[in-house]
Amino acid sequence: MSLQFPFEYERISPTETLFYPMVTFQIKTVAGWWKMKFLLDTGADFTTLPDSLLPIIGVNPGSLPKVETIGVGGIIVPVRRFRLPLRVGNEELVIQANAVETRGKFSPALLGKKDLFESKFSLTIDSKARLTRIWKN
Amino acid sequence: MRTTHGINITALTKKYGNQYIAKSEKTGKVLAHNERVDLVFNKVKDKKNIVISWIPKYGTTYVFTISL
Repeated sequence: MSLQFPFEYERISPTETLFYPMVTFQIKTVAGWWKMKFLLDTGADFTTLPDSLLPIIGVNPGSLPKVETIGVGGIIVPVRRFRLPLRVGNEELVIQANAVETRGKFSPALLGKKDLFESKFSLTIDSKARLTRIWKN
Repeated sequence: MRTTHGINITALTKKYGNQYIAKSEKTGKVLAHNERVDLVFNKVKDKKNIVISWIPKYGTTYVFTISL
Protein backbone atom coordinates (compact mmCIF):
# COMPACT_ATOMS: atom_id res chain seq x y z
CA MET A 1 0.00 0.00 0.00
CA SER A 2 1.38 3.38 -0.98
CA LEU A 3 -0.22 6.75 -0.37
CA GLN A 4 0.69 10.13 -1.81
CA PHE A 5 -0.28 13.54 -0.50
CA PRO A 6 0.60 16.77 -2.33
CA PHE A 7 2.32 19.48 -0.31
CA GLU A 8 0.19 22.38 0.78
CA TYR A 9 1.87 25.72 0.52
CA GLU A 10 1.31 29.33 1.43
CA ARG A 11 2.78 32.23 -0.50
CA ILE A 12 3.81 34.86 2.01
CA SER A 13 5.63 37.11 -0.45
CA PRO A 14 6.31 37.11 -4.21
CA THR A 15 9.47 35.09 -3.59
CA GLU A 16 8.79 33.17 -0.40
CA THR A 17 6.54 30.23 0.31
CA LEU A 18 5.99 28.06 3.36
CA PHE A 19 5.16 24.46 2.66
CA TYR A 20 3.31 21.97 4.82
CA PRO A 21 3.57 18.21 4.36
CA MET A 22 -0.05 17.41 5.20
CA VAL A 23 -1.38 13.86 5.15
CA THR A 24 -5.01 12.77 5.20
CA PHE A 25 -6.00 9.80 7.31
CA GLN A 26 -9.30 8.73 8.76
CA ILE A 27 -10.18 8.89 12.45
CA LYS A 28 -12.97 6.93 14.07
CA THR A 29 -15.53 9.40 15.34
CA VAL A 30 -18.89 8.96 17.03
CA ALA A 31 -20.39 9.47 13.55
CA GLY A 32 -18.18 6.94 11.77
CA TRP A 33 -14.85 7.23 9.98
CA TRP A 34 -13.98 10.80 9.04
CA LYS A 35 -11.11 12.18 6.98
CA MET A 36 -8.76 14.46 8.81
CA LYS A 37 -5.58 16.22 7.76
CA PHE A 38 -2.50 16.05 9.93
CA LEU A 39 0.75 17.94 9.64
CA LEU A 40 3.58 15.43 9.40
CA ASP A 41 5.87 16.25 12.33
CA THR A 42 8.86 13.94 12.51
CA GLY A 43 10.02 15.90 15.56
CA ALA A 44 6.98 14.73 17.53
CA ASP A 45 7.28 11.46 19.40
CA PHE A 46 3.51 11.14 19.66
CA THR A 47 0.66 12.23 17.44
CA THR A 48 -0.65 15.33 19.15
CA LEU A 49 -4.17 16.69 18.90
CA PRO A 50 -6.24 19.29 20.73
CA ASP A 51 -8.33 18.06 23.65
CA SER A 52 -11.38 19.39 21.80
CA LEU A 53 -11.03 16.33 19.57
CA LEU A 54 -11.80 13.91 22.40
CA PRO A 55 -15.61 14.35 22.38
CA ILE A 56 -15.55 13.66 18.63
CA ILE A 57 -14.03 10.23 19.15
CA GLY A 58 -16.22 9.52 22.17
CA VAL A 59 -13.51 9.74 24.81
CA ASN A 60 -14.01 11.28 28.25
CA PRO A 61 -10.88 13.34 28.99
CA GLY A 62 -11.30 12.86 32.72
CA SER A 63 -10.68 9.14 32.30
CA LEU A 64 -7.29 9.64 30.64
CA PRO A 65 -3.90 9.69 32.36
CA LYS A 66 -2.26 13.08 32.54
CA VAL A 67 1.38 13.36 31.56
CA GLU A 68 3.82 16.17 30.95
CA THR A 69 5.60 16.61 27.66
CA ILE A 70 8.34 19.01 26.72
CA GLY A 71 8.02 21.40 23.81
CA VAL A 72 10.50 23.64 22.08
CA GLY A 73 12.45 25.81 24.50
CA GLY A 74 11.82 23.41 27.34
CA ILE A 75 8.21 24.46 27.73
CA ILE A 76 6.25 21.87 29.69
CA VAL A 77 3.02 20.95 27.96
CA PRO A 78 0.36 19.05 29.93
CA VAL A 79 -1.34 16.38 27.83
CA ARG A 80 -3.66 13.44 28.25
CA ARG A 81 -2.56 10.15 26.74
CA PHE A 82 -5.16 8.27 24.71
CA ARG A 83 -5.49 5.69 21.99
CA LEU A 84 -6.60 6.97 18.61
CA PRO A 85 -8.26 4.61 16.09
CA LEU A 86 -6.82 5.52 12.71
CA ARG A 87 -7.14 4.40 9.12
CA VAL A 88 -4.05 4.78 6.97
CA GLY A 89 -5.38 4.02 3.51
CA ASN A 90 -7.15 0.70 4.04
CA GLU A 91 -5.09 -0.20 7.09
CA GLU A 92 -6.85 0.15 10.43
CA LEU A 93 -4.80 0.53 13.56
CA VAL A 94 -4.80 2.18 16.95
CA ILE A 95 -2.00 4.55 17.85
CA GLN A 96 -0.96 6.21 21.06
CA ALA A 97 -1.61 9.92 20.96
CA ASN A 98 -1.60 12.98 23.17
CA ALA A 99 -4.41 15.45 23.67
CA VAL A 100 -3.15 18.92 24.50
CA GLU A 101 -5.09 21.00 27.00
CA THR A 102 -6.03 24.00 24.92
CA ARG A 103 -8.69 25.69 27.09
CA GLY A 104 -10.77 26.26 23.99
CA LYS A 105 -7.95 27.74 21.99
CA PHE A 106 -6.55 26.47 18.70
CA SER A 107 -3.99 23.68 18.57
CA PRO A 108 -3.01 21.88 15.37
CA ALA A 109 -3.19 18.18 14.49
CA LEU A 110 0.36 16.83 14.37
CA LEU A 111 1.28 13.36 13.17
CA GLY A 112 4.09 11.92 15.29
CA LYS A 113 6.27 8.84 14.97
CA LYS A 114 4.91 6.49 17.62
CA ASP A 115 3.07 3.38 16.35
CA LEU A 116 3.40 4.54 12.74
CA PHE A 117 6.96 5.10 11.62
CA GLU A 118 8.79 2.84 14.06
CA SER A 119 8.12 -0.28 12.02
CA LYS A 120 4.75 -0.28 10.25
CA PHE A 121 5.15 2.51 7.69
CA SER A 122 7.88 4.44 5.92
CA LEU A 123 7.75 7.89 4.45
CA THR A 124 9.45 10.21 2.03
CA ILE A 125 9.10 13.96 1.77
CA ASP A 126 9.66 14.35 -1.96
CA SER A 127 10.51 17.98 -2.68
CA LYS A 128 10.96 17.30 -6.38
CA ALA A 129 7.50 15.85 -6.86
CA ARG A 130 6.15 18.12 -4.10
CA LEU A 131 4.38 15.37 -2.27
CA THR A 132 4.64 13.16 0.78
CA ARG A 133 4.72 9.41 0.24
CA ILE A 134 3.75 6.94 2.92
CA TRP A 135 3.87 3.20 2.37
CA LYS A 136 3.38 0.09 4.40
CA ASN A 137 6.55 -1.86 5.13
CA MET B 1 6.66 9.46 -11.20
CA ARG B 2 3.73 11.57 -10.20
CA THR B 3 4.52 15.26 -9.61
CA THR B 4 2.31 18.06 -8.44
CA HIS B 5 2.65 21.78 -7.95
CA GLY B 6 1.23 21.32 -4.47
CA ILE B 7 -1.94 22.87 -3.15
CA ASN B 8 -1.95 26.63 -2.66
CA ILE B 9 -3.69 27.36 0.62
CA THR B 10 -2.75 31.04 0.82
CA ALA B 11 -6.35 32.23 0.53
CA LEU B 12 -7.40 29.78 3.25
CA THR B 13 -4.65 30.90 5.61
CA LYS B 14 -5.68 34.53 5.19
CA LYS B 15 -9.34 33.79 5.84
CA TYR B 16 -9.26 30.86 8.27
CA GLY B 17 -5.77 30.90 9.77
CA ASN B 18 -5.35 29.17 13.15
CA GLN B 19 -8.67 27.43 12.82
CA TYR B 20 -10.04 24.06 11.82
CA ILE B 21 -12.21 23.89 8.73
CA ALA B 22 -14.58 21.31 7.35
CA LYS B 23 -14.41 21.21 3.59
CA SER B 24 -16.60 19.37 1.11
CA GLU B 25 -14.51 17.02 -1.00
CA LYS B 26 -16.98 17.37 -3.86
CA THR B 27 -17.39 21.15 -4.06
CA GLY B 28 -14.29 22.38 -2.23
CA LYS B 29 -16.51 24.67 -0.21
CA VAL B 30 -15.68 25.41 3.43
CA LEU B 31 -18.79 24.42 5.39
CA ALA B 32 -17.64 25.24 8.91
CA HIS B 33 -14.68 26.80 10.68
CA ASN B 34 -13.68 27.33 14.31
CA GLU B 35 -10.66 27.25 16.61
CA ARG B 36 -12.20 24.19 18.22
CA VAL B 37 -12.37 21.07 16.11
CA ASP B 38 -15.36 19.68 18.00
CA LEU B 39 -17.47 22.72 17.10
CA VAL B 40 -16.54 22.25 13.44
CA PHE B 41 -17.40 18.57 13.61
CA ASN B 42 -20.76 19.20 15.29
CA LYS B 43 -21.77 21.53 12.50
CA VAL B 44 -21.12 19.02 9.71
CA LYS B 45 -21.44 15.60 11.33
CA ASP B 46 -24.58 14.73 9.37
CA LYS B 47 -22.91 15.47 6.04
CA LYS B 48 -20.82 13.15 3.85
CA ASN B 49 -17.53 13.47 1.99
CA ILE B 50 -16.03 15.99 4.39
CA VAL B 51 -12.38 16.55 5.24
CA ILE B 52 -11.43 18.30 8.47
CA SER B 53 -8.16 20.20 8.37
CA TRP B 54 -6.32 22.78 10.35
CA ILE B 55 -5.21 25.93 8.62
CA PRO B 56 -1.98 27.68 9.62
CA LYS B 57 -2.10 31.36 10.37
CA TYR B 58 -1.02 33.44 7.38
CA GLY B 59 2.65 34.32 7.44
CA THR B 60 3.41 32.40 10.64
CA THR B 61 6.22 29.90 10.88
CA TYR B 62 5.72 27.02 13.28
CA VAL B 63 8.13 24.91 15.24
CA PHE B 64 6.55 21.83 16.74
CA THR B 65 8.66 19.48 18.73
CA ILE B 66 7.00 17.65 21.56
CA SER B 67 8.93 15.00 23.41
CA LEU B 68 8.16 12.78 26.33
